[in-house]
Amino acid sequence: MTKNNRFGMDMMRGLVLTIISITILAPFYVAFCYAFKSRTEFARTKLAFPTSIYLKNFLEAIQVPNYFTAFRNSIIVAAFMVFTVMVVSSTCAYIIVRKKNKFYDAFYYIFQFVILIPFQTLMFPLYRELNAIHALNTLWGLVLTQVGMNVGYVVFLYAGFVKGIPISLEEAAMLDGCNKYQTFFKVVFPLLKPINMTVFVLSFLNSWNDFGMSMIICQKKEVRTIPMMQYTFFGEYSSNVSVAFAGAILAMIPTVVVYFLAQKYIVEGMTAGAVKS
Amino acid sequence: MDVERIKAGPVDGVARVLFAQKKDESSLRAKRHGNKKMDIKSELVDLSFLMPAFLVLLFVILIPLVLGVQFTFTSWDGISPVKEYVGFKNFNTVFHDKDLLVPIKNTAIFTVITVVCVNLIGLGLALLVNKELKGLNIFKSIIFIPLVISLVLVSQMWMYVYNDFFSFIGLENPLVSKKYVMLGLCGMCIWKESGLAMMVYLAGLKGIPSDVMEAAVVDGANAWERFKNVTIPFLAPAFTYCIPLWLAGGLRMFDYATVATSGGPGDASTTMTYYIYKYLFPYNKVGYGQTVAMIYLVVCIVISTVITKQLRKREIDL
Repeated sequence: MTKNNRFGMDMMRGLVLTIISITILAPFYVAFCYAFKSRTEFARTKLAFPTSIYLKNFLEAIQVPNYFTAFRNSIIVAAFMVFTVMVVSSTCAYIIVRKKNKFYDAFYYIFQFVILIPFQTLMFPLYRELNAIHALNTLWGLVLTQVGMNVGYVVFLYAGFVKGIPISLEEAAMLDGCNKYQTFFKVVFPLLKPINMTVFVLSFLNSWNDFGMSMIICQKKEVRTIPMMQYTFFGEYSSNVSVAFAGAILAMIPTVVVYFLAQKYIVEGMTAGAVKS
Repeated sequence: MDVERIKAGPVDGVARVLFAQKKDESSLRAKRHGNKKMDIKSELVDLSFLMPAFLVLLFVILIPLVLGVQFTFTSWDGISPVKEYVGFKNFNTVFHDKDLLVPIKNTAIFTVITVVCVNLIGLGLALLVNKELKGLNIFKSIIFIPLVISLVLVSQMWMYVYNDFFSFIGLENPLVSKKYVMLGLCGMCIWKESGLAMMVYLAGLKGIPSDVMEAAVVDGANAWERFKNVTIPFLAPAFTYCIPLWLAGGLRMFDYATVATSGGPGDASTTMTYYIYKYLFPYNKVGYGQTVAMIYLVVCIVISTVITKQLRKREIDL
């Protein structure tokens, strides 16, 4: 009886989860329908399953000027952003935790405070500031901004992790004649590996998917990143949505690859704040 | 002789210890004095760990914060080289501005609906996937996919879902209706982010000790009582994490409104951040726009802090 009941429950759960999964996948299906059908076919069959694979939309999409430039820009920005945010935040969190005095604690409060600030409330003064140092419409200006907007949360993540690392290893390294930098980068940083992975995927996604910041900092065609390009793409190709969706699907590939390779770390990264504290 | 020795022994010993201490102290003092340079150097090394992160923060957030405050006292258009100072005039305008009521209302609707729905759906999903089931990992992977897609792409896909699929099943496209546009945007957010809430609540559920649950079963608690008296209290840290997260996310919602609707139709989906953007960039009314922005910044921080504090307090009570 209970076994039957259990089986019934599992069936129900499976059914509900299937319906939810279909709901999650439905918007992707709409995008695929547009991308894999010619315009005339889409007008005729709408959302019916594509009967033949039509690739001309993809060819047209990659021939759009600046399509690959946007890819390149996104890769450059994400790479520098991830590297910078990891180095500056891990060193900063490390010293705050190890010094444990009021001076360093004050900085920790500042870092935690800025997490709460919405970017749009400060974007105009920042825009003027970037303009003053000729960083508008440059990739490094965008990198700097993304690092600044992420550093608070990443320091918070690192600080929680550093607290759990025994100090004895560092003392041993110091006795062996390592200076502080060597101690940090040779002894402490490797011990941070789990949180490094988390920070890596989290900041990569934040950088790769960022729209709010690149929208005001990188408006010129040569410095646009993928989300910004897609935004203008759909505007310019509103009469030919198929090409726009084909471009969007190609642009989605790197994220989906990263997702399936690093799923575990993405989940950990996004739920990291919840487990600790 | 022996007696003498015994008598002298301890005294001698004490003297030796005292002497040693003195020597230690003086040598230490000499070392400290001589190494004052070393101390400063070591402090500077420590500071060099802190400073890179802080300097970025200073440039990207703290200086704009100060500049932002300064702009609120001007009637600047953001372009002309002269800034005219107008005192508290902007604040006066903001507090009597009826135009602001629409973005406040829209932001409140979006925030409340997404906080409630994302958390309830996330919790429900977590309960669904908490027990073993064939293919569970596939379901979990699928539910999590939207999280890695950019908000721009999510908005664009949903524009066409609403446009094509909704008309296919005989529903109105919510994005072109003044009445339903905010619900349409909420739908995108719920679709994208419920998976994250699921993962957080799932981590919480995994943390419930099985003996506590078994004890509740032995005590004859039914499913609802077990949920209310065991599961919910154990999930308190997850609530404390999730609610402020989506609260902050709702208050700063920008991408959906910008990409999917440009704040329209009319101003029916203009949120606070989009309103601020409109006044700062396309309208060139920096003095006014930045005043709204700075007030909103304070409001966001106050709301987030108060709610987090309340949730922490409840966490202890539970």
